[in-house]
Formats: sequence, C-alpha cells, structure tokens
Amino acid sequence: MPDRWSAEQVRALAPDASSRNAAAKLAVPAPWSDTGCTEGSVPVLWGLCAGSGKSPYQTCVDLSEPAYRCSCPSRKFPCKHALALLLLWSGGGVAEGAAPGWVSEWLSSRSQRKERAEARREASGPADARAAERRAAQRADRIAGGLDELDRWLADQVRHGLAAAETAGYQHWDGTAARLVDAQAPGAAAAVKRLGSTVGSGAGWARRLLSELALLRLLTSGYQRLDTLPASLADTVRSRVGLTVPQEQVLSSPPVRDRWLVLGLRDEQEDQLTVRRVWLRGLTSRRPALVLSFAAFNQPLSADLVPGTLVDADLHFYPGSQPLRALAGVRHGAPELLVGGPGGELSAILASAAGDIETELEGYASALAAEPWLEAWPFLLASVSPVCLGSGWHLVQPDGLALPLHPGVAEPWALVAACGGRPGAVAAEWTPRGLRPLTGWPSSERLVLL
Amino acid sequence: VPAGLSGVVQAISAGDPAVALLDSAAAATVYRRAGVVALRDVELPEVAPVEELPLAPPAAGSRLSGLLGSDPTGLVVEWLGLAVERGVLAPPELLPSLLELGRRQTELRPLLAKAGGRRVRWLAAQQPDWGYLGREGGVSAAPDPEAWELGDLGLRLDHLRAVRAGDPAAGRELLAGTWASEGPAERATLLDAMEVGLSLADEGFLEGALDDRRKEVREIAAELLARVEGSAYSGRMALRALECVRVSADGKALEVTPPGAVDASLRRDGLRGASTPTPADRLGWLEMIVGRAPLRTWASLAPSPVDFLRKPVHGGRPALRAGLAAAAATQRDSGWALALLATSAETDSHPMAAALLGVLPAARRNSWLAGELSGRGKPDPQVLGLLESCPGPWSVELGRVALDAVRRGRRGLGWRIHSLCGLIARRLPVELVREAEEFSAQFLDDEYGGRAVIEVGSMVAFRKRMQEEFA
Repeated sequence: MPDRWSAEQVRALAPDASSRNAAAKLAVPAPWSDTGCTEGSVPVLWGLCAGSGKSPYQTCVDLSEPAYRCSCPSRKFPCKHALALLLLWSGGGVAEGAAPGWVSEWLSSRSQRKERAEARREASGPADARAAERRAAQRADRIAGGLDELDRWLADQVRHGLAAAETAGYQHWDGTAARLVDAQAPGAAAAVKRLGSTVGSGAGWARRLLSELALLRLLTSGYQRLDTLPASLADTVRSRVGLTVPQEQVLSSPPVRDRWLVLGLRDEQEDQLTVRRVWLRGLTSRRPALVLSFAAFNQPLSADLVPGTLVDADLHFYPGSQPLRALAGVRHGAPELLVGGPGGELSAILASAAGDIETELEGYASALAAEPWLEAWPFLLASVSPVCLGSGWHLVQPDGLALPLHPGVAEPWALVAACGGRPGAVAAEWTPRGLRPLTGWPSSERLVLL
Repeated sequence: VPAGLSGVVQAISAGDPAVALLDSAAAATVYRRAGVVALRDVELPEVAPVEELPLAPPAAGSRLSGLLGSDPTGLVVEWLGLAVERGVLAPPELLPSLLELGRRQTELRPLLAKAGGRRVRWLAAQQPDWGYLGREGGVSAAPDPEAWELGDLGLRLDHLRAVRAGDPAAGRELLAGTWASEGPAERATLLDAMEVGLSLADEGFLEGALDDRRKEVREIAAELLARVEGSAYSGRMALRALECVRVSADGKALEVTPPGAVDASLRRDGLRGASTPTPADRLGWLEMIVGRAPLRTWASLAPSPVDFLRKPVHGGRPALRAGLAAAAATQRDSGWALALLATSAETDSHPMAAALLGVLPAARRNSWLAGELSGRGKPDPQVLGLLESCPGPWSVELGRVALDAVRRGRRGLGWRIHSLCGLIARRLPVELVREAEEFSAQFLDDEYGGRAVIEVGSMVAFRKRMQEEFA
C-alpha cells in the first residue's frame, strides 16, 4: 500500500473552500461502499458513494499523479467525492483489495490515451517544416520591431524623468504593453505592465522602477545581439521576450530524474488567469525546479504536486542559461509523504536538502549571474524562526543572520505560532524585496502550509 | 558607482546618455541583487515555554484545521472542549486563527486558554488584538503593580482582579487606599472587581459604598452585598420581604403587599424611588426585595419551596415568582430552581426559565427537561425552546426525548423546526448517531423536511468521527 497522505495534503487538492467542506462531510463511512485500494502497477483508490440518485457514484483516484475519475456530474475537479474518498483513506478508513472491473477499465483507457498522445507527438515531427520556418521568421521580424520601439520608449522614460510616472496612471504602461502584444512579444508586454504596480509599491519606488526599466533595456539590447549570445543565454532572452518553447519539444529533451522534494506552492492572479507556481528541489541533483500551471478564473488548478511530498520523477527543463521552469514527465512510483518524529526520515532529508542563509544567497547570486531577470528563486532554509524587528518581519538563524520578508506578505503569525521561537526548516521564495514563506517544518518535524 | 562595477560602466558605450544610464542601472541592479547580504547580529525571538500536555492526535489536528477553514458548523467550540477534556493541545500553527475567532466568539476564550497550552499565552502577548486572552478566568494574569499606578482603567481593573484572586483582603485594601481620590466613573468600574473573592469580610467597605454620591456605585455595592451570605444587607432585605409577603389568616394562601413608597433606607439599599409610584413600580420594588432576600427567609412560612410555591397568592404572584427566580439564580439554589420550574406558571418569562435551568446541575437539568418533553401528545413549544438553554452534549435520555418530541410536534413548529434541528445536530450525544440518521432518513421524503432537518444525521456522524479522532 502506498504511503497515506495527511488530511492537510488532501485538503490542499481541493479547488475551493466549498468543496473542502462538502468533502469533509462526505468523509464518513456511511455513504461509501465497496471501497478499496491497491498498490499494483499503479497505486489506485476506489469506492462507491451514495448520492441523491438511485445508483451510487463510481469514484476512483490514481495516486501516482494523482488523477481522478468520478461518475458524478460535478464540474469541479477533483470533485467532493474524490476528495472525500482521499480523506477517508488518509484516516485509514479504506482497506486493501483487488480493483474491480470498472477501475481497471479506467486505468487501461488512461494508459492507452497516454500512448496515443505519445504516438501523435512522434508523428508530428517534420510536418511542414518550411512553412513553420517562414512563420517563425515573420514573427522574429515583428518582435524585433516591437522591441526597437520599446528601446526608444525606455530611453524616453529616463529622459522625461521618473517623477512623471507617479501620476501617469495605468494607461501610460498599458498602451506600450498593448503594442508589444501586437508585436507578439507577450513576455516583454507583461514586464511593462508590471511597471505600473512598481510605481505604487511604497517607499523607494523610483529606485525599483529604474531597476525594472534597466532590466527591460537589458532585454531589448540582448535581443538586438541575439546572434552573438551563447546559445543558452539566447534561449533565456527569447523566453523572457515571450517566445515559448512548445511543450512537446520540452518533453523530448533529456530528462533529469531525481527524488524531488515539493517545497511549496503559491497561486497568483494574472489578468483572467490563475497561475500556480510549484517549487521543487532535487535531493541528489540539488537542482531547483519550477512547475507552472494555469487555470481560467475560478477554475481548479492542477494539484498533482503536493507540498511536503517526495516525487520520484523525470523533469524536463525549458532551455535557458539558468534552467528553472520544468515539466513533469514520467513518474517512478507514487509520491512519498515524509514522516517526521523519531525514526522518520523527514529531518534527515531536510538537513541534506536545505541550506543556511549564506549558502542559499550564494546559490541565488550564481543563478542571477546566469539569468539577470530572475524574479524569484526557491530557498530552503534549514534552521530559521520569524522575528519582528523595527523594519518588519524577518527570518533569523540561530547565529543571528536574518533575511527580511517581502513587505507584501501578511504577518507570518501561523509560522510564529508553529515555531514558538525555536528554529525550524522553512521553504520560501526569495525575491529582490525579501522572502515569501511557503512551507514550514517547525522543529523540522511537522509540515505547516503557510 | 561601486568599485566592482566601474569597469563595466566604463565599457558601456557613451552614445545616448539616457541609454547609457539604463545600461549602467541594469549592471548596478544585478550587482546589488546578487550581492545582498544578510542582516547580522539580529536578536533571536523569545522562546515559548515548553508544554506539559501532548498535542492532539494528527487526525484531530487536521480536523480542526478544516473546521477553521470556513466553519459554518460552529464546531470549533466542541473541538476545543474535547481537547480540554482529554488534556491535549491544539496544533500551534492554528492558534492565530483561533485567537482571531475568539475576538468575536467569547465563549471560545476559556477553552482556548486551556487547549492552546502555554504557547497561546506566549503568542497572545505579542499582538494587542489578542490581549483578551490574558484576562481569561482561570489563567488570571499576574498582578502588575505598575499598571495600578500608571495604567489606563482597563489595566488597573485587570490588576485589581488579579490581586483579589490571590488575596481578597489585599485587593480590598488596595482599592480602599485610593477610593477617596478616584473619580465617580472609576469608582463604579473598579468596585466591580470586588466580585472576585467576595466574602463577609468585604461588608464594611461595601456598606460604606452604599453612601456614595454616584448612583451607579451605590447600586453595584447593593448588588454585591445581596450576594454575601449573612450580610446585614440581606438581613434588612429579609425583614422587608417578610413585611411584604404574609400568610393569610386561614394559613392557606399568601398575601402580597408591595411597599407603598421608597424611604431613605430603601433608597440607600438600591431601590429607585418614584414621586407618584404606579402599581407596576410598586411590584418592581417587591420583585427586587424578594430577589435580594435570602431564600431561607421563606422557611418560616412553608415547610418546603414547593409547598410555598403551591400556595395561592393574592396580589402579585408574577412579581413574587420573578423575585424568587432571581434569588435562586444569584444564590445558585438548585432546590428552589427546581421547585420554581416544577410549579411553572403561564406568567413565567422565557429568560427566567432559562436562568433557572442554568442553576441546576447538568444531570438534573437534562433529566428535568427530558421529563417535561417526554409523553405522547404535542410537545409544549415553550419547553422545546428551553433546549437552547441546555448546553450540550445532552444526556442520552434527553437526546432521545428531543428527537421524539420534534418528530411528534413537527406539524406545529413551522420554521422553528430548522433552528431546533440545528441545535439537536450540535448537542445530541454522539452515541445516538444511529437514531439521528434514522430521524433524518424519515424526513427525507417528508414535506416538513429541510436542509437542517436532513443534516441532523450527517452532522452527528461528523461529530462522532471528530470525537473518535481524539482516541
């Protein structure tokens, strides 16, 4: 039987609070029948849940990804039945058994679908290479034109002085951003849009605005010299401008297999889209990785990487001078939940994967040397606790070294309470303005999502 | 320009100065970001005291986290109660949410003070919004002499209460020492603290306060004196009560004569006068006098409370009963409370019955209410309403009877069935989970059903699971 997940981890999968509550109510034995789970080739969990209709819903969870199937009409994903079944299992309420027919059918239809998708990927190789090349060249021209205009606009901002930006309003940035969208450079467009929020970001905004303008100028000048840049740096510049690499191409790059510790996740609203960033760190390679997923407003996000678990999987990195963003490929087994306390491997794993403030800052500096546009970088600090100084909240190490929290994050009371003044491991996003805590392991034992 | 950057900046072509500025700024930005150094010699946070009690089992802990997520169920209080009962602690990371909840839900506070362990006091001290926890009974804050000298009225009150809790005489002397120099509003507020550790030893001080210039102070002093067993004040009230309530000539009935006016001595003892008193004013005085007379006063008129209450009353039975109920509540006399409930009259108010129920020990309360509700006919809606005043979890007997009473009476209950079922869902003992599920199943196809009714079963099952998670 695969390791059971904690109820917290199951709840983290819920698309919203109402499903979480509905699932908690259903996570009692009464409505369930014929439940079971098995390790098999794929670890899977199933059960029949009595609903308002005559026949019960068939609910089934593939624990390796996880993937869900339920015969209920809910459009939420995972639905309350799948969540409730997971909760029941997490509480030890599901016995091992042999998978019934409808479960094995689902599993085999899923593996067939996967194979077909792979076959398609292989087949779609050199389809119409020449037409594609022509389109790419046209787009490159358009982008170059857009970035040249951006270059002149950036210089104008400096010439006119930044003071004007304070009263300019959002149109000032949005117009330029819209022209970059037209020029098919969405990455640069998003960066210009973000300038608007820098203006209103509190004391020191002018200095931060100049930094962001300068980094955009670094991007335009980089694009102008694209041919002379090392190949990986050129890839980075292209991706920052907004030229994306197709997923199939990323997935066909050589995989990096490791046991990846899921450090934490953070959701952010971008226009009509919710972006979920999941940060990972490889136990052997010590490489950081960022897996992004997107969902339309109010739609559920991908929940297959659960904070605090170890996932043995192949990751395929997007090309660049500091590879960070990755796609998950083949998984080698179900995620492991780390067990704390005496005899558990959690503290040993945290001790080997985490660093102290100095080593993590060094890692960030080398990453920045390769990728000057980095906005955030994952830190896993082995031994810190939160403390409030006159200048705001910080994470402090027993040796007195401390890093500030990002001024935009809420007061970290849950972490304060969990630590009780004693140091523990904390995973956080490091940004130029400070840390955004994601996950804590107070006394390096229990997991606390922040 | 930092020294390490001068080479880079010099190399930047000196074309357009605006572009050169941006290029230099880019180099400086990356230079600065890559070179961030940590703060040094930062003072470490104060370490929380080590706990004596263990944490709640993980399953129970994650249940609480779910309840706090967006809890429409109101089960956080029950969870905390279970934790206190079993001597385990809430997961520390949930304490901030619990402290926030406690700002609005005061009934949570004493439980949180226990189930939060030492950590919750350590935490609450760091955030002024959570300061209420330090004032929680049972965890009474340590006296702080500086607060008495320099603090605002709230802090001074906290200090006085803390001193009273440890050494009532010292607290009395502390207050007496500054009494003459306190303002009238301060005197009224601080006098309230005398309720902590109140005893006959405080009588002299409180009698003095009866002559205070401020009416509020006089009233508080009178109320406190009425609660002191054997005080001269209650003796005076007993004499007055016996003047107002006499046994009739034939010995069978009670004759009630409210006072005609408030003289100086009555005014000193807390009665509010009126120049041309109405009959209602006079009955109000009677109620107050009876309410502050010791209940044993009536032993001379009838052998037992029930005998006393069964006698016919001429002139003012409702006021007499209300006064007796007030006395039973302040004197915590369960014999009188039970007698009043057993002889209940149409004129008894709902708050009065609820207060009397509160005087009874839990077992008596449950069995009395079960007795009232059991039977075959339609249950009395007034009595059903008293279920509200009976804290859960109910006895198995009361639980069974309540389910049955709602089943029998559902046709006459109207919308009230929903609030009743909500109550049952939260207070039914979890041993009755099967009965609760049957109850809900029966209502599934019933026109009187509704969400609250159907959820009784699943709610009790949910609570049962919650309890089992503490095992």
